[in-house]
Order: sequence, then structure tokens, then C-alpha cells
Amino acid sequence: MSASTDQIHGAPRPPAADIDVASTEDVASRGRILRARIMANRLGIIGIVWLVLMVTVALFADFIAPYSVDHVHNEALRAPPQLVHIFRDGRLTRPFVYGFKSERDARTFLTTYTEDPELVYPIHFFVNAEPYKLWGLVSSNRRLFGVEEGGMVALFGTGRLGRDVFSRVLTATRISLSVPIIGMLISVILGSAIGVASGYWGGVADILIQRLTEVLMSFPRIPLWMALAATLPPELSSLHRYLGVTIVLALIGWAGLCRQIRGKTLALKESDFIMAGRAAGSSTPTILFRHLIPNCFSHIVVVATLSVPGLILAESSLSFLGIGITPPLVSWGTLLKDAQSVQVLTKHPWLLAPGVFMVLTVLAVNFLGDALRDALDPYSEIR
Amino acid sequence: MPDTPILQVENLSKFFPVQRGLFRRTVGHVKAVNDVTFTVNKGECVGLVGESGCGKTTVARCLLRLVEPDQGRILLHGEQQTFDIASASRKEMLDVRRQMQIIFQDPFSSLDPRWRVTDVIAEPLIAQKIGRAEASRRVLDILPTVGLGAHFADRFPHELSGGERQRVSIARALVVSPPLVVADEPVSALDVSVRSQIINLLLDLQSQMNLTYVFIAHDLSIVKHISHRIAVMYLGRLVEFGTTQQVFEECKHPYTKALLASVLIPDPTHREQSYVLEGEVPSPLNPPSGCHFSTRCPFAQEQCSAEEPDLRDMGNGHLVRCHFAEDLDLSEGVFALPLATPSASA
Repeated sequence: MSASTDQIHGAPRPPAADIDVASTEDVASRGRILRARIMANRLGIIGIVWLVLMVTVALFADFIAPYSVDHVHNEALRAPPQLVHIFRDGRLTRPFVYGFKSERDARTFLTTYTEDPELVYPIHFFVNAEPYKLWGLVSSNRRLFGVEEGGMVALFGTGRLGRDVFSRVLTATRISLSVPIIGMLISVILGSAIGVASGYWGGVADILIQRLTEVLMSFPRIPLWMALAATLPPELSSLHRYLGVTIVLALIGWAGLCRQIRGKTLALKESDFIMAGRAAGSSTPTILFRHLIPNCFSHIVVVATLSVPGLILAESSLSFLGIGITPPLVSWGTLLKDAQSVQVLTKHPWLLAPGVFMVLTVLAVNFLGDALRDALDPYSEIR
Repeated sequence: MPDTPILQVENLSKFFPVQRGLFRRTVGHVKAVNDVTFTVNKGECVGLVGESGCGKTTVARCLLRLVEPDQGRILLHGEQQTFDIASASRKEMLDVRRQMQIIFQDPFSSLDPRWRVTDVIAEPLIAQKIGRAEASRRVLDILPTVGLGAHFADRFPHELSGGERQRVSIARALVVSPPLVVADEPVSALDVSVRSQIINLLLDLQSQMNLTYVFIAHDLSIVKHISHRIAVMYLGRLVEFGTTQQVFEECKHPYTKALLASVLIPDPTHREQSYVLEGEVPSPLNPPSGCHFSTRCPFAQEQCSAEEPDLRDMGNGHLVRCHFAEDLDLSEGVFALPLATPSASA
């Protein structure tokens, strides 16, 4: 190539030796490739954003929610969601909500609520309201937003007893996310440990473990959950019940992962690098924890992520049926108990708000799981 | 060279059970290695050859106790003491692994994809309870010995070529300075252009570090180049064992002859005159009665399928497992089938 063409294409070509060095030192690390691939997956990003939002909400629910879970608005039972207005008399003002005027139908005894233009409650930020203890540590009475005493702000309406649905949904996020995540972690630890042991040592233990997982997996799930949840004594405090439900879910969830990890282990333990590790004289713990499990890890991550939606739904189902989380703790499932009737669908659809959150969260976790699976698949194209 | 044995393999056997059905009943055994006996002397290279499935790799893995041998003894005459690898305790095995290492066939699967080169090479050192700092110093020492620069230490295996990976694999085997190295087809997974480099590296290292090799291969030209003595295996049994000269020039077993005849000769005027073995290797699950080679041997007689021949010494330590080893005329003309091509080489 002549000097003139070099100039046309910009910088002169480096000598051949340099190209070699540059190209080998510029190899992208696994982490970088992984991140780039996840970033290229739009649904995955949406999933991550929603989950980050939900986790933030769960962590700061006390602060973000304008009311505590049990705060009752006696004057507004099953009131519809309030709209936030920013224009009054055609002029831009600070956000405010209108109060309600209630009318009772003389024949059906149903109360209907209409906005009362006379009652204006401006929304203030960082207000002093009901006190709470963030994470059981920090006492505070400052909340993100609220209205003056005497007014009410219920963005998602109120329930049968006049409790703010918005506050309750946000608070319920804590249980509805933590039960599946803790349950998933327990079942991942159980599943990988048992799966690796079963695959690596084989023999009688392997046969027994595999038959056990088959039995566990061939039970219909919901009756099994119900049976196990029913074994939790009714006099348990609701916190213990919460732990109990988590463990029940984990005890069933590990079987599937265990089988997959066992399969991976069977394949990997015959692989040359494990042989090489043994020939090098590495101890069994080194082989398991430094060769085998790291090579199963991408698989574990994907399976674990994709098991979370099932656990979210499982916890909600149990709570909906009244054998999961019990008051005073709230989860999306217990909130949906208020939305059991046809009347709700026709007259009070805002009571389904926790269901919407559940659907969105399940979708988000699925998106994230798919994105992780595609990103970790060595045969997928690099986009 | 004075013949001091470093490794004595005596009556080594490995049978793999074949299990079927719900309760994994054992329905038979694959006799992967059947009563193999040979000796490796200090400083020499013993080649182990045979078709695929003849048990070469199983022998290698038994030597390192990567599979448990079923019968026999494997005596390693170490620097201070003699170990029987077949029955060594866990603690003794660690000592054995300091004195005997293995190079695997496929450099693409024998390096953990998640480990950096330095960790891969240091693995035997860490296993020998050598500190991290000392281990990484020794890794940096060994890298130039196998022809790799120090900058390779922080690479991952997927960043390396096949030849570079095999050099890493060799470095891992040699980092504990073992006197004995088992090389399980170390070049057969490599490009032809890289093979000779790796072979030369192995030869250089042998003279530099005074190594003893057990070299497993199916490429006879490489074995001829590198080995002092050669063991030929067929269906899990040793059929011929002797010096390279004895095996290549004066072979006495028809199977060895057929193997040798299969070697390509780089001469365009050479016309194929060799005898080509018919049929497949019989199943090791159900080997033929008598001499295992009798089903494919052109000289097979009634005695061959009735009675299994012993490994007999034909003089000067040349061992052959054939009833008619003395009588067979294995010279080119007799052995070759008459072919219709004009004999251009004549």
C-alpha cells in the first residue's frame, strides 16, 4: 500500500508487529461482553429498570407511601383514585387533589364519590406525617408527600375499610419481592449443593436424590404448597409465618435446579480440565469450588432468575388463599383478597392495582432472565 | 544408557462395568486394559501406540490414578521411595503427582476456561502447598522454558491459539519438575504446522530437564521420531513391545505390521502396496476368543481362535503376543496383497 492511500484513510498503518500486540491486548473481558450484550437487549433493560424501581420502593416504602398500612380514612370507603391536578382556574399551580363529596344511593346503599371543587388539598413534599421506623432502625415522621391534616391523598383509591391502596401496594412490595428472592437463594444453595454432590459422587446417594426430586416434581404444585403451608401452626406470629412460607417455597423449588446442576456436573466431571485438576493433585474442595461450580455459574444464574416469577406467583397464591402471609403484614396476594368479587371488577377496579404490579414484576423478571440467558449463551451472536 | 527402571507396570487391568436397566444391573465389562505389563527406564521415551479404543488413554489415566485400576501394580521408583500408585493413599498420591505429571490431548478442553494462564500453571504448585508468591514466581520461570512470554500469564485460555494452549498445558505438567511425564497424544489435536514445534519442544525439554516420557500416540511417524521403545496395544492387550528398531524394522506381530503399513510415505512415486486391515476393531465388550486379533489376521489358523497366545520374549527384550511369531514372514512382498497397479517404486 502506498503512502498516499495511507493518508486518505487517515493514520498510517502501524507495522505488523504492533497489530499483533494491539489485537491480543484488546480482547474484551467476559464481564464486558456480558454487559454489552445485556445493554443491547431492550426488553432486558426495561426489566432491569422496573426491578430497580421496585427494589427501591421496597426499601423505602415507609418513606414513599403517604400513609401507613393500617391508616383508615373513615370518610372514604372504597373511594376511587384521586387525580392529581396541576391547573386551577386555568392557572398552573402546585399539584393538588380535590376532596370527595359522597352520596348514598337510597336503594342500593352504595356510596358514590365525586370530586368536590370546593375542597382543594395541595400536595406538599417531605411532610411531617405518621411516624415510622425505617428498616426498624431509623425513626422518622417525614414522608415523601402528603396533604394537610383533614384531607386525603389516595392515588389508587381506597379499600373496603378506607385504607389507601397506593400505600398498601408499595408496602406490600417488601414481602412480595423478599419472599421470592430469599426463597430463590435458599433453593439455589440447596439445589446446587445437592446437585453437585449427586452428580460428582454418584452411586446410591445419586439414585436416591434423583428419585426424591422426581417425586417432588411430579406433585401438583399448589396442593403441595397448601399442604406444607397448612403445617405451619396458626398461632405463629406473622413474622415467623413469613419465614415459614419462604422456606416452604424454597423446599419445593430446589428440585428442578438440582437436576439441571447434576446434569452439568456429570458432563463437567469427565471433562479434561477437571481430570487435569485431579492430576495436578488439587483437593476435592478445590475441584468443586474452583472448577466445577464456577463453570456451572452462568447456568445457575439463569435458572435462578427464571424461577423468581414462579415464586412471586406462588407466594401471592398462598396469601390470596389465606394460608400464606397473614395480617398485619401485607403482600400483593393478601391485598388481592379484597378484590375477590365480581362487584370489584365492575365498581371498584382500582382494587386490582396489586395484581397489575404483580404482572409487571413477573414480566420484568422474565425479561431479565431471558436477557441473561441470551447474554451468557456462547453461541448467540454478538450484537 | 543404564537401564534403571523408573516406572514398572505389572499386570495392569481396568474393566468398565456396563450397566443396564432401572437398577443398573451390570451386564458385562469392557476390558479396556487387560493384563498390561511394561517397564519404563529413566531418561527414555516409551511410545504407546494402537488404534482408537485400544486402551492407550485408559492406561495413561490409570498411571495417574485418574481412573482406579482394577488389578495390577504400578510401581513408581521415586527419588526417595517407591510408590505403588494403584494402592497409594491420598497423601502418597500427592507425592506421586510431584514426580509424575500428564499432558492431555486436547488443549481446548484441558484448560479451565475461567482460569488465567498463571492460575492454570500454578495449580499443581498450589496443590503441593507451595505459597502463592513462590508459585507465581515459578510460573514466570517456567513460561520462557516452554516458549511463552511473561505477558501470557494474565491471559485466559480463550485468548490463546491451540499451540499456545498446549504449551501452557506442558508448563502446568513441568512446573513441579517431575522426572516422569505421561503425554496423552499431546499433538494429535493440533494443526500439522504446530505439531513439529511442540514435538521439538518436548524433545528439548527432555534433554534439558532429563525427563522420562510415556508418549501415547496413534501417529507412528511421530512415535518413531521420539521414542526409544514402543509398546503396541490392541483391544486392551499389549501385542508387541520392543525397541524402536525392533518394532519398526523387525516387527513380529501381524497387527504391528499392518499398523506400520498404514503410515503414509511422503513420496509421490511410491505406490500403495500395503496391506489394509479389513473390518472394524471388535467390541471390547465381547472380544474374540483366543488371540483377539484372530478375526482380522491374514495368517490366522485354527489355534489362533482357540488359544490365547502369551507375550513371549523373542530375544533382547522383544516381546510379541503371537503363536507364530517365529515363523511368519512379514516382509513387504509376502504381506502385501497383490495390487493391480504397476509397481512404480520397483
